[in-house]
Amino acid sequence: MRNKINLYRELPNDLTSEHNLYKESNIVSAVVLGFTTLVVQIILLREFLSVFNGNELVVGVILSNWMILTGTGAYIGRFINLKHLTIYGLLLIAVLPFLTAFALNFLKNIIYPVGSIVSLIQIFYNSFFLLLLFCVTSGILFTHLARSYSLITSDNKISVIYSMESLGSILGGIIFNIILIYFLRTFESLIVVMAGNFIAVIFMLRVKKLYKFIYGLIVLQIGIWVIYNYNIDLTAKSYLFPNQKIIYHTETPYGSITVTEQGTQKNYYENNSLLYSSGDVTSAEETVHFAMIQNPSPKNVMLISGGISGTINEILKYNVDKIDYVELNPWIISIGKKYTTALANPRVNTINEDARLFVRDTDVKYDVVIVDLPLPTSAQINRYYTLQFFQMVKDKLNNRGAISIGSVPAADYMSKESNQINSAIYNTLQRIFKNVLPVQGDKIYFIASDAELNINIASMLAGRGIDNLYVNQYYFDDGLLKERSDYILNNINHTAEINTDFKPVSYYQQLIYWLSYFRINYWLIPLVMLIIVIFSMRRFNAIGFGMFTGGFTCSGLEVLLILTFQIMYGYVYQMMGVIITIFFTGLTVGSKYYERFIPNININKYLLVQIGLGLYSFLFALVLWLFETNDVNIYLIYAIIFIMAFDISFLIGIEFALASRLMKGSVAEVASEVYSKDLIGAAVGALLVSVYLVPVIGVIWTAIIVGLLNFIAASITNISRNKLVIEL
Amino acid sequence: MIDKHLMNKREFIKSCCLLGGGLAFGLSNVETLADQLGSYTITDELWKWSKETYHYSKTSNSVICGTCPNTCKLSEGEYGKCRSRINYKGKLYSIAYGNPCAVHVDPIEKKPLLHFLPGTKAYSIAESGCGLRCLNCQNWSISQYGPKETQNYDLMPGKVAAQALAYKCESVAYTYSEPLTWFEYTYDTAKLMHDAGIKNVLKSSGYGNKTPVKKLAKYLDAANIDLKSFSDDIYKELNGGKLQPILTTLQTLKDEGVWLEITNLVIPTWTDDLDMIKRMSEWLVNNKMDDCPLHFSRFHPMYKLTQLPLTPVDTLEKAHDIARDAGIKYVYIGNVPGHKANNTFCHNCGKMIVQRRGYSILRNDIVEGKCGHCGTVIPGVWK
Repeated sequence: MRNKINLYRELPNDLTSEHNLYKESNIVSAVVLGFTTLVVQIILLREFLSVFNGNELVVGVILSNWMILTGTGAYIGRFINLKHLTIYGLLLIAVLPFLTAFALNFLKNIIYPVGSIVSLIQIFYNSFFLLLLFCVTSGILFTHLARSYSLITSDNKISVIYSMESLGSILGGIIFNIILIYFLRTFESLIVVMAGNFIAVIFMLRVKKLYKFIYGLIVLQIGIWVIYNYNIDLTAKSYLFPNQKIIYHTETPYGSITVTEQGTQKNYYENNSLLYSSGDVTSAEETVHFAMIQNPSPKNVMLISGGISGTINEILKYNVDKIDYVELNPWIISIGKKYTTALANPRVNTINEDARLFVRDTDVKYDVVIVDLPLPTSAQINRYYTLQFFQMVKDKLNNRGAISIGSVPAADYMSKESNQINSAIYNTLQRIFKNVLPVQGDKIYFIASDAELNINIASMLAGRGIDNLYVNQYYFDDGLLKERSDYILNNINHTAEINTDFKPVSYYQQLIYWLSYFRINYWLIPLVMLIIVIFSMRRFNAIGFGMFTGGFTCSGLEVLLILTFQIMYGYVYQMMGVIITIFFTGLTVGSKYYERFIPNININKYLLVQIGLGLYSFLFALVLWLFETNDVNIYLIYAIIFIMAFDISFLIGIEFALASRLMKGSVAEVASEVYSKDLIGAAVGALLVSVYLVPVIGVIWTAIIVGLLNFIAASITNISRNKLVIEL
Repeated sequence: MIDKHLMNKREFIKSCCLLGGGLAFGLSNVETLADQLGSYTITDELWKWSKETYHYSKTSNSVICGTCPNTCKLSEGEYGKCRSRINYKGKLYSIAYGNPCAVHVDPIEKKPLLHFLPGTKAYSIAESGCGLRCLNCQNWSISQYGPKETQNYDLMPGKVAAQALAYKCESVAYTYSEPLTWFEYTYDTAKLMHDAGIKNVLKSSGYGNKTPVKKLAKYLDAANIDLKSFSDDIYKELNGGKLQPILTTLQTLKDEGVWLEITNLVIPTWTDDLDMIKRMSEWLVNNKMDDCPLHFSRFHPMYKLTQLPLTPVDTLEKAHDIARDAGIKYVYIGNVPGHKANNTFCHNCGKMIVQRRGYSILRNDIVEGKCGHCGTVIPGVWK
């Protein structure tokens, strides 16, 4: 039959007739692969985080699973050589993410108790099994494309496929961060990815251009029709909110926001975790009044986050002149305007900005600053619990001004983990303020000021005629408040380390606290990682180890750069996208054009690149030290961070290309070996750096450790150079 | 050229099997490993705060704890599910005796006990350990850890009375975690308090066996028992326990004449089934507990149950009405500041007899245990 679809034939015997078509198909496939894996990675990671309400430890575990599974796929790829593998592979990675995301939402409350958080180990299992097929397939595809393209061109072209895959990732990152995140929800984005992959496959079919065009249009139409007619996001999310009516759900760069209704009560969720239920006065009153009553006549108040939870109405009880409410996520502001009256008062000035940026730049002096943020479960939030931040706030406080910040949920007993968190916050505040007062409500609040602070909160409120439903003399006995406050103070470890921007100990303690829910040891994960690394290194070779450290350096320094930017400047979602894009650009340029920079490939060049990476990591440590100790112009920060991001990834791109040329073996073997080592290194790097090295030894020492690792790898290369010299 | 460091297919399959087997084994044991790594290293030696337990039986090579319905069978050196009982050289010891981890003074209304000595304070003590595994435990950092993992005070039963008196407390409350788990401490202290004229108050899940509960009841003046739901399945999944033992405890305490109040925490999607609340209320009435105040409490996300909303106030109000209609005389709504169902209304004339705000009493029209308006006897312990 004339119109019968002939699938693209792989590994053709005669390379002349359709040489260019195959060449093109491989390149296109690599770009599509990079695009799909990056977009799907961002989306699924967000979905996992939202469904399981994860922190950075969860991100680390899922990313590690991701890279290890992809690496395993790349390794398996050398043994698999099926006909039409590219097409089947691309179709599979098109469909699987959609099914995975749906299964995740659907199964959460079936497998686990309704509404419960899931332990790290369970998340490890879940993400492992849910990601297994997708990641392994994408890994197999990489090796397959590298082999297939090299065969067609009769040359080792692994690095070209690598660079094209990186190019796809750049496109994926840009399209996701500029278009998908703002206009589409999770499942809609996944349908777009699916349609994109289908269309790419259609263009590889051996049919007339007209048919390709028609088929492409059909796929596109089906995609649009499904998105337009079915709200799959709502269906999927309804499994997560049983017995509640979802009246609003959106994906924002900062996580998902959902509003549900139960009778007359509205519930506001961020990443599936309850932010606030309407009609709950307890937390709003505690957040506000413990601090506000300390000032005899507060006029200017700054509220950092939490403004739609009822806190603003509580602040307004004090006859203030102005409330500057600073909220990072614009979607929270918009649901606040839509569903509450909190922001309608003319005295409320809503500011959509990173609060650190705002505090640094504002000219206003405040009487009370209320920080209503979650505990530092991430390095990002930790920025509001540090010495540097408290100093910034103090500079913007009036003489009698006070700051209030929440700590762990209060219970009748203070666990070791809670106590560590309290001690760090207390000691850090005490470095900046003369007086620090712990107050126990539903959680523990720390109020700090240079003026006197008073624990007789209930009688002061009564004296000032502030009429509250909950924080009043009927619920709070000043004597008992003092007893609980003294209990917290007596438990404080005054020698505990303070929390700083560059050494976020509170973040580390918060992770330990979270793990204590499940009685899991903090060091279990590195132990498992170590076993995996040892397993993957059991046939040790210097180049493979070099690639492992390369991957480690790449992801580790990427984490450090993003974190540094957040610390030095502030959290700007788009900037994260820009830094990641620069990283992929560096990788692409390095791996694509390495020959221009390194004309004669030999082991010495590989060694030089490794030494270069080591030195660069040290340079980074120096830069961090300068950042920490000096006031640096913001444009200089931008410039330094962008240049470093490019340079590091550029060097790693070159390293990958060199490794793929220097390693011995068939193309498939080399591709799978180099790629899987790179990925495993990246997995270990991302997790160890963000969750272990930064919180435990600080940012600067982390950069030094990364540098040392590269020098170790370089020494190993040097020692075994004789074994490695091969003719090219 | 194939380099020797690259595997052939056979080796690959072998490695895969090894990795697969290793992973399967590792994954199956990782939780145990995590638990072991996460837990405090427990030494074999008994410590000062140990007491041979009052209720256990011996088999040839183990002991069977008789304190709670878990009836843990423990080999030498093994800990019970509550983490506070150990088989030490063939005898069962509690290591939670005289070493409370939490000691506070609370208003009696906070327990909640609204018909028992209103306006007084309770000297509140807790040891660590609990036989249940509630996903929403407020005090998980003591209930889900054993006494060797928490920081404790040294407060032997003999010293409690002096402390309670020093803080002007009319009662001692055994509370926060599960006082039936640390039964020996609860029992011995209660006995001494009873002799000293200090009241004893139990705040418990009721998860204990009948014999110890009955024994303890002799010295108890009041109890607030959590009836967490009225379904064995929910008890199993949400609390890691069983329903029947709780019902038995309620009956035992009632029969023994302990002043009893009951708390039902209404958790959205878990325990907010109004039919179930109806069945529960009917059971209470049929078992002569219509005099026992029933507190419907609002759920706040806690511990592992943080992906749920607060209980809507209308749900609590519906539950309140169902219980009243079923014949429960005093039904309260807890954790909702300012709600009118925090007050007490005479079950006969319907007039407000105790007006409360928070833990404070604004007005009390109960005169010598009777309604100040119609003279009906109001169940409770009023002085």
